[in-house]
Amino acid sequence: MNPNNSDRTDLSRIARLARAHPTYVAHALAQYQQDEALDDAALAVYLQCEDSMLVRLALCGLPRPAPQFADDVQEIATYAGANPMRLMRLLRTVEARRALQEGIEPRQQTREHDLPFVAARDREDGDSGARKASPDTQQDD
Amino acid sequence: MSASSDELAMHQRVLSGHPVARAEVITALYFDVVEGVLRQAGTGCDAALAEEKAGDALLQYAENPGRYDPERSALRTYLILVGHSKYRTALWRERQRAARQYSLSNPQTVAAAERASADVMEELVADIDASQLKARLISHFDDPRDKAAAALVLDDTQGWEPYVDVLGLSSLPVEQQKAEVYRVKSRVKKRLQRLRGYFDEPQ
Repeated sequence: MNPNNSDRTDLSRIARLARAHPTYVAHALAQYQQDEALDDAALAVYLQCEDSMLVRLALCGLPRPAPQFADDVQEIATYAGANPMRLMRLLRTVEARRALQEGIEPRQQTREHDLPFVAARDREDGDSGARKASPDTQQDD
Repeated sequence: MSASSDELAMHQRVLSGHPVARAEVITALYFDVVEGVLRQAGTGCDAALAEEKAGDALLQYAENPGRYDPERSALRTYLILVGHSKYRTALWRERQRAARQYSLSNPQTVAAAERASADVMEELVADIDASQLKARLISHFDDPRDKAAAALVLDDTQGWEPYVDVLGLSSLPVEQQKAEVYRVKSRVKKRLQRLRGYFDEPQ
């Protein structure tokens, strides 16, 4: 294998490795794909981006807690050419499911990579009561 | 050799915690790091494992960029060293696992397998020693350009082109670049020979 000669644009191998790192978006994407039985093409359709851009998305870190959270999601989505609202919904869904599986209320979690989702929810709760439904029932766009 | 200006800018952005910075640095450096680890691992290496460990080095750096000190080495050099170290460790573990399997299936091969593990361990120790010696040698140069050139010389970097960037000669005409690289390399090599003599003496 010589990356010089084969495919210098192929970052899919490191994107797959990133799935094992919970602080990368790759981890959340893989979890969502598993839960929803989505292949890459279907995930790209959901996020409204090119298949090839999923790698760029996967290699981003998770968004930071508020006050950067919304801006970070926007910038990550822009970087990967994805729909920011869909991305935010995906990230929050994964987090909510993980919390349910672990029997933990998301608000009580303290690990750094969990904080953005809690922060986002707190922020939205404060902004408006219109988006208090579970992530799966929210309207995007 | 300390970080170049582009590496320093990337590093600062990763340090800021910006999530997109991770993807940017990985995209920018991945293939250089993979190539470097493959080169260090040598011909006949386990290329898939080497690429995996190069990837691990990058992913972990982007998660914990504070572990990297830009004053001490170039980012690419650091990541290649980390990736190669991970590769060697993984190889050693793999051979240990193989040795344990041999011991269960065929006791006669135990000695050979253990010798193989010991050889890898010795190589690992030698690598660490070499890395430490390299760092000590480079630390004796005061000028950052000399440090960078010494690192390249110690890596047995051939040709003049790789030295142009680290010596900041890219704005000069090619002939002047070659002449200046030759002058610096000669000076650095002589100094390294003297220093090596010093370090080879019983301390």
